[in-house]
Amino acid sequence: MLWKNAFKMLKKRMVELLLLGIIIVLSSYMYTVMDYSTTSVLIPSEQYFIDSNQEEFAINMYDSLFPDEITYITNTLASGDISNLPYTLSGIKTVNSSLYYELLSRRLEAITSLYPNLTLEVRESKNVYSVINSTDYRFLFLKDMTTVDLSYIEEGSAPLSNTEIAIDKTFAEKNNYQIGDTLTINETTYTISGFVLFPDYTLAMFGNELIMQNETQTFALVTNDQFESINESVSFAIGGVYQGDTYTDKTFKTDVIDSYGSHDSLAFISSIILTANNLRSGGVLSDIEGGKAMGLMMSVIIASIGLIIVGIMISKMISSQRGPIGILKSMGYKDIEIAVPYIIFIAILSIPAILLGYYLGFLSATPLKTMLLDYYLLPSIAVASNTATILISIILPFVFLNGLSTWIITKMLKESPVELLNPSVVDEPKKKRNSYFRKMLNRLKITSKLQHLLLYRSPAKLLAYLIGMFFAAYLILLSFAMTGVFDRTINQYYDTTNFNYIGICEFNTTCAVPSDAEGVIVLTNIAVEDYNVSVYGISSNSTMIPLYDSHGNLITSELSNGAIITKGFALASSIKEGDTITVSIGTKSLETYVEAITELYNENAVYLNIDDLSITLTSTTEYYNAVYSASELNSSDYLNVVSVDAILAQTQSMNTFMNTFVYMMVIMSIGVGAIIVYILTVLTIEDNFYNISLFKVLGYNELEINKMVLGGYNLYGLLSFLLTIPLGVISFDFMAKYFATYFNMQFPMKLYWWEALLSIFIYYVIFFAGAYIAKKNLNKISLQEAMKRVKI
Amino acid sequence: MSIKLEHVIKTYHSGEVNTYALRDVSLEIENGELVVLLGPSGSGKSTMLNVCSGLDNPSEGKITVNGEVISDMNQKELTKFRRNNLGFIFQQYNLLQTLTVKENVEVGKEVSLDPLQIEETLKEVGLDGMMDKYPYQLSGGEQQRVSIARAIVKNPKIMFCDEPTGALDEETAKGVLSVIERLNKEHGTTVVLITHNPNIAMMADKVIKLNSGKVVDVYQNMTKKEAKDILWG
Repeated sequence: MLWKNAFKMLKKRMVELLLLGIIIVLSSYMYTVMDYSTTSVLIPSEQYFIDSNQEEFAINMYDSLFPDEITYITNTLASGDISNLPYTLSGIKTVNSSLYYELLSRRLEAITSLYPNLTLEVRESKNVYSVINSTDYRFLFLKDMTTVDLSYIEEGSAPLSNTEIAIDKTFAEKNNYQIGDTLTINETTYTISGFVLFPDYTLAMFGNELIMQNETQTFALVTNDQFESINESVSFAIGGVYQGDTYTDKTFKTDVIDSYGSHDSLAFISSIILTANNLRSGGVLSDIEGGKAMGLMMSVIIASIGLIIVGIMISKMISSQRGPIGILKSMGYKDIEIAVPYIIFIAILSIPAILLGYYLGFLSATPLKTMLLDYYLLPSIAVASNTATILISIILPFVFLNGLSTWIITKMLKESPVELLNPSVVDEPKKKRNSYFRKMLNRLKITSKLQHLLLYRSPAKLLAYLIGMFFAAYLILLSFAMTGVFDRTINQYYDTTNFNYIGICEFNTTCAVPSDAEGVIVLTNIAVEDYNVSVYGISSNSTMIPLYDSHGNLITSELSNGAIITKGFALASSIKEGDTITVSIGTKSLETYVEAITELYNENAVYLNIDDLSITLTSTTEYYNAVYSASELNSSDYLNVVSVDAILAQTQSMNTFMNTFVYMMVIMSIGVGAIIVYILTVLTIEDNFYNISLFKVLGYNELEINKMVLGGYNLYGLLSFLLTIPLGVISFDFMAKYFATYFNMQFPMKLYWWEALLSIFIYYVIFFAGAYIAKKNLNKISLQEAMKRVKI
Repeated sequence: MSIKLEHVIKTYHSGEVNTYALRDVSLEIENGELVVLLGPSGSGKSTMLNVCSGLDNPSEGKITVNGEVISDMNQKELTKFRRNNLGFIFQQYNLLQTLTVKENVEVGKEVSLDPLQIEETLKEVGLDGMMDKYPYQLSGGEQQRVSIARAIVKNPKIMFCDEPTGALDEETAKGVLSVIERLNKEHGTTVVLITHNPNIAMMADKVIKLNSGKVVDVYQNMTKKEAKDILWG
């Protein structure tokens, strides 16, 4: 009989229990899928980093030559005439390779003389764009190193001849390349000898742009000779490791990173970044661990909402059984005999949900791992179960849910039969809490007052609701804020500019400027206020690169008065309009005011008037080293021609990925929000069964009753949602600044006013979808029978 | 406001079983009367109250209240009808525990087109000094008076009372009945009161006796007593 009674009681609430089950499934799923997918990547990666001696820090250097280097060159070269030499290291390499390596070696010595116990090695790279079968690709050729950041051959072998190449495995799979196939890059045909990984490039992000997918971009390993023969300008950075136990990350930061700037001999260093903070190499681990942590956090939030709702539901279910339980106790049934059926049934209901969540999470882990490997260039192993994950995603929620249920049931059973059989009264302490609120509500009409008072009766329900709405709201706002990220970082720049091709001039050569093109000075890795930026010299009435402020006003003409910096640089550096900045290019420097900030996030950049920059560099106004053209350029007239289409093609899949991710987040938020609203409104209607019946008898219509009983949820839910908007905006701004400052990565999340309005509309969809079915229960409440029952 | 029942039948269906709660009932209640529906448990008193007040629809027959045929009304129309014309007093008070005495009465006032003043109404039921108290701070009789005040403040044309003294001791019950009596005398409100206690029938103008769903007797009370003089027990 006891079992039958408990079963019937739970059966009445099957819909709510099923929906609660969805929340439990989601909670278990979130943790399982994030944990298994990330672990299958993290475990082999940790060994991989050890085996390949991954750099513990990276040192970025300015490309421009410094005074002591100019002096060294002057003293070294027999002719002594350096006026025609490039003023950048990369430029020096094109005319005198051995001088270039000497200068690099001097730089390394300058560092180790001040900071011994560091092993340093230079990583050289060359960026190559190529069209293959009408698709634009980007190849980052990395020159192999011998001590630090060793290449790791996943499959096949390293290239032995100049016609062999090793590429990234995921890139190969996505483009149907296998070992032994040929790959033609800009008229050079290679045979794929193997698949390679580089520990300093663990995120498929080969620039500062947020293009990090490896379908149309890959790194490549060729022989050293072949690397040198590639006709592109070289980039370089230093990878370093600590010798022995001389440093830890913490001491390296305090002893080296915080102090190198005070040494003039190290002025060529633009930044030193610990691998843990370096997005392209080590930030990825913390990124993946962050994803794991985020999965755990979301799981905990969803679980806690579920727990509160479970507590409320069980409390209500058992409360409704006070009379029968009182009778059973008075008949002599023991507490445990009464409690066991409820506890067992709740356990029976929760176990499948938890197990289902775990199982679905396990199944989803492999596809998620595959998706991670689209962006993370890391080794991986097959997804496998482990004890810790089982414990956290199965045992822990089971213990919490059922522990809470058991506690509530046993607490109720402690009451004496007399107390259980008699109607309970509202206790005084609750009244005193309510009296604080009613002072605030005194002036309201009774129907409005009831909206609030009926909610305050159950703080637990209100709390669960507010947390749930905040959670749903934040996810929706975050989704909207993320939707335009790629447009703002990449597309916006190319949408507002008018060039389609960039021709890089040969060193010291005046290259052709067609009629629909402009000569531009482009300098990369330039020091501006201790930041590594790109510097562009353009005309103040440039049509190829018009600059706009955040209001859409054309501001290029401001270049006549000073510099314009990108918003991304402003975020990273906190430089504002009116500040003075110094642009240091080799021995030359230019001090200027920041006249305006252009609403671009594609890179840290400073725009200067081309004449001013030209004069600074060459004492003439004639200098330029690149041509930005609307129409196609003849590649024989330039060192290299880059097509804008090639760059934009790569953003397409990132846009698709981001949009998919956003839609999933919005749908999940709506789903979770609607479930929470539905369950709580059903419980509220039950809580107010007698009140609703009374209102009907008195002559209140459905609209009025709905407003009194559920209106509070609408109001507080909306307030919670509205409060989330400014909190969300503040957190998005903080995140954008954080990424820009610490990772040098532009991630400009922005919430527009119409997106905020749309999110409020979505809130109403959530609320009405959730409450609609619950409201139908209002009709089922009869008038006359409810009035006859004793209110408990 | 008068009430007229013509050949009213109310049947409850439970599977194959039909229960006749009212069997071909025809009667009339005149405007301003204090009528007692008397009968044992299961006689159909509550069912009759429910159909007369629009809380339920009859299975067959016609019910006219003040010229309006309420037996043909849908739920919305019935709600409006109850809102504009009727008051209710139930055995179990049915007060909102989160509201004060005054606020509980305000719930009734809010829905009325022509309400009385809350303070005056509470004074009438003898609770003018307890406006800020909560139901849990009141005795059973006081709570029932709040319930009455909530019904009175609506200024209803008809008051339906379903065993209003069922949960009260003699003295308290008489106090409550006195209030109902005053409502009828001073406001001219038609009162329909259900009870199984024949002594209470002594205060009525008309007594309608019910048994097994049928009206077995209707008579004018020639020896009407005041509530305070009713013999109890």
